[in-house]
Amino acid sequence: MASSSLSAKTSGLGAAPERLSRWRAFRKWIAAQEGWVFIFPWVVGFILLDLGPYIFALIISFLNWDVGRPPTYIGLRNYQAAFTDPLVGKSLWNTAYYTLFHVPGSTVIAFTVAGLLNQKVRGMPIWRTMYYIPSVTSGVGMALIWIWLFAPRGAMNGLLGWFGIEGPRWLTSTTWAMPALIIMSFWGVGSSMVIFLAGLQGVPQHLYEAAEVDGGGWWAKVRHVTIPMMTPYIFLSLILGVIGSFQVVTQALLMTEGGPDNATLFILLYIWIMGWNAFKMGYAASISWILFAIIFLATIVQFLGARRWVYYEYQEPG
Amino acid sequence: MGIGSHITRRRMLRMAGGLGVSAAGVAALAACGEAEPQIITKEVPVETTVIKEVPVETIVTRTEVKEVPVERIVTQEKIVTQQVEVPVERVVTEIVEREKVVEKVVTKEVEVMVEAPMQKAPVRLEFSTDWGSGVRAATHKFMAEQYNKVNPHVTVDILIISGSGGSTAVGYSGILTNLLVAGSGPELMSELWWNADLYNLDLEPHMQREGLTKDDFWWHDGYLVDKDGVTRGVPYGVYVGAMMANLSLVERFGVTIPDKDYSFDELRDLGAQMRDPETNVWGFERQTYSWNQGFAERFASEGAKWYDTATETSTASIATQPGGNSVEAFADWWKLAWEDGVSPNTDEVQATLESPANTSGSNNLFATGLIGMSGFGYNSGGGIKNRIGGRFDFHVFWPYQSPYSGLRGYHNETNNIVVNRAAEERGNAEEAAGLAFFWHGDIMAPYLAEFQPVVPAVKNIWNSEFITKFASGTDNFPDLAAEAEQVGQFRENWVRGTHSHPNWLEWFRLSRAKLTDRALVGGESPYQMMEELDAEGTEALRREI
Repeated sequence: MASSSLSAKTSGLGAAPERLSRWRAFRKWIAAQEGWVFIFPWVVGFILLDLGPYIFALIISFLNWDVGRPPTYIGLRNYQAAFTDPLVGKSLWNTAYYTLFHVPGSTVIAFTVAGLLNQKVRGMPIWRTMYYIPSVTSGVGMALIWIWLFAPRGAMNGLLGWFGIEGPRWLTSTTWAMPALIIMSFWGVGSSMVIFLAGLQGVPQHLYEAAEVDGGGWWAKVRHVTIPMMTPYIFLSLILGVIGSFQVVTQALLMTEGGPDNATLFILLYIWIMGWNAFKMGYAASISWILFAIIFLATIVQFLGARRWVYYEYQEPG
Repeated sequence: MGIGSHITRRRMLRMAGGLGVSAAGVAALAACGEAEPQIITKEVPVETTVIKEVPVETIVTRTEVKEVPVERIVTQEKIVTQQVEVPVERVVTEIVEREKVVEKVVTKEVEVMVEAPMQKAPVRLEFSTDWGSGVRAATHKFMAEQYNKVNPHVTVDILIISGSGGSTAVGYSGILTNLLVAGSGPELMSELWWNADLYNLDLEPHMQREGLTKDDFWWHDGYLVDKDGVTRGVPYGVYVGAMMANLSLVERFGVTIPDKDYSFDELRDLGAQMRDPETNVWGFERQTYSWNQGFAERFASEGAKWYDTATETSTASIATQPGGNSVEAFADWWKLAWEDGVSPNTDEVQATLESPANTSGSNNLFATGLIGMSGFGYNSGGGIKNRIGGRFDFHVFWPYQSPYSGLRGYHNETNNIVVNRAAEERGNAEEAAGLAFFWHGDIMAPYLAEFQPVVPAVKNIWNSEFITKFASGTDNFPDLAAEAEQVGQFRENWVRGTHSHPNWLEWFRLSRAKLTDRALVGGESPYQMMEELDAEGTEALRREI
């Protein structure tokens, strides 16, 4: 009797932790579901507004479709045409040219400005606001201002004139139109600047103190403390910068319409023209997917390269 | 005092006795024979009024006060002649009845009873346009108001899409296409020709109903008639170009504006006479865009097509008029700015616009008042006049003749107003088509001719007094449009029209890149640019997609 009673008690004791474990698992599962509930609006938005159009664009890239008439299936002909279209090549070259100068240039400028705005000087909030305002200014308004600045007798050439330099015809010259748009793009470094500013404020002070103890000067601190600690932010800025550069369209559309002589015809502008002016929707979609592949590859390459130079302070073991 | 106190039994007996004697006397007299009765006739009018309602109303849609016959009153008079008995020997009672019928019609004010037309259900029409400001926006507003006056049941809403960039800009056509595909496109659309057989209404029956024939219009099939031969558009206007001269500068420099026949060389000499570097005055504005005396006109005067659809070849350099030479004509045009110094080049245009002498505040070069002569299109004359704002008078005159072919060149365009086929399902196709033709009617055509947001395509307007209100000189060439029809090129053949090549956009972008951007604006060799256009244009036309 006694032993059986003990056995029953023992088995009861064994079942309790098991139930507790199940209960914990259940709560964990519930917590996971709560997560899904919270991201549900985003998931719905992604499916309807992002994934849906992606799939739709992929489908129509195999079609000949002008929106009005029923589409016809043409296999890979849109892609074949895109690979032999000189304007696709030209617009990709223009976009790469822009990216090559815009991304490093805007990173350096944003980093420098963030460094300056990280100093303890009077009226800093005003300075920070001033530098950030262009990032939230309407692209159209900005374009109109820069058309005026780049006019043959505009402010830019006036500035050059002070140094005895005769300024070019910025927006109407096949040589200078793209540099003009690149210069203009530096106006909007505010977003990267804010990221860098946040990063700079997170660099531990004791590292600078240690550098000072080791006899490091200003440059040594920048080189051996600031830059390494900022590499994750620089990396993020580069990733976003490259993706953004491949999607430039507003300035070219408003300021040059892709000209002169297609000198500022960006790939996204060409896609838009093919889609909404020529109504070659399938063709436009095929170029979009080529653009996606290029951006995807560029991003992967950047991630692969990041292992060599990006330093994360809290890296996972192993 | 009670009645019983007066009538006593004795008195009652006396009265009864008297009556009995009297009755006996009367009976005795009657028994003695007939006596002459004394007749007193008295007419007693008895009226009976019979009113009959006369129904005259049917459907009352609006009321007004009006005298109308609404009642028929019949008066019936009954005359009764009564013989009044008198206490004589013999009393004969005779009743004579006489009926008198009086009929009269009276009028009175009543609520109308106007037989009105069948009431029409309210109709709302949308008309899309890219005309968003100035005289052009005012024109569409005027059109909407006037159409509503003529057709009170119709309200017209003007749908302005993309206020700048023109109707051929991506914004306008893209947005409108989306609306059409979604089934919510406006009933009327200006300047859109896209899948016309699917989206545009067949306007032939409506033209017949309106009593219009194509001969009345400055008509071109390119934007108006589909490949299947069905008319699906109405011309929007005449876009032919001419020249205008600043009369203040003409007077200042003492030059004479040429008459109808003058050559390119004369134009250049005249421009040189009006050039004054000190006051930043230029003799001539050389347009850098395709038309309004731009390169389209240069090709037309030499008989050069933009491209040949059959062979898919870029043919801007191939002149077909006797003696024609489109390459040299284009190069001459280029030289006006880059060699002759008669016209400002790109930098000089900017300098002129920013010159202290330019008090116009306008970015239109001719409107600055610093340009002696300029080309203009009849689709933009009103806009230029607005910008000039009365600061100086200008005179309109003929374009110059080519030194090679001897012809003037014209860029022609009618563009179109199309009616959305969905209007049929919406039940307002008749009103929508009516509005399209209203554009050229007796109200709108004079308005358009006078203010010139665009000149209407009805031919008779060129000989009317209205077009001469625009500026002096317009009465000098009523046959300009007719000549343009013979010598000019219709844009519809090359750009977006039913006869244009599927890759027209690629060719057109190239032509702008080479001829406008690099040659006319950039100052690069016009010969080389024409060569490049030939080569790359052909390649663009032959591309499969």
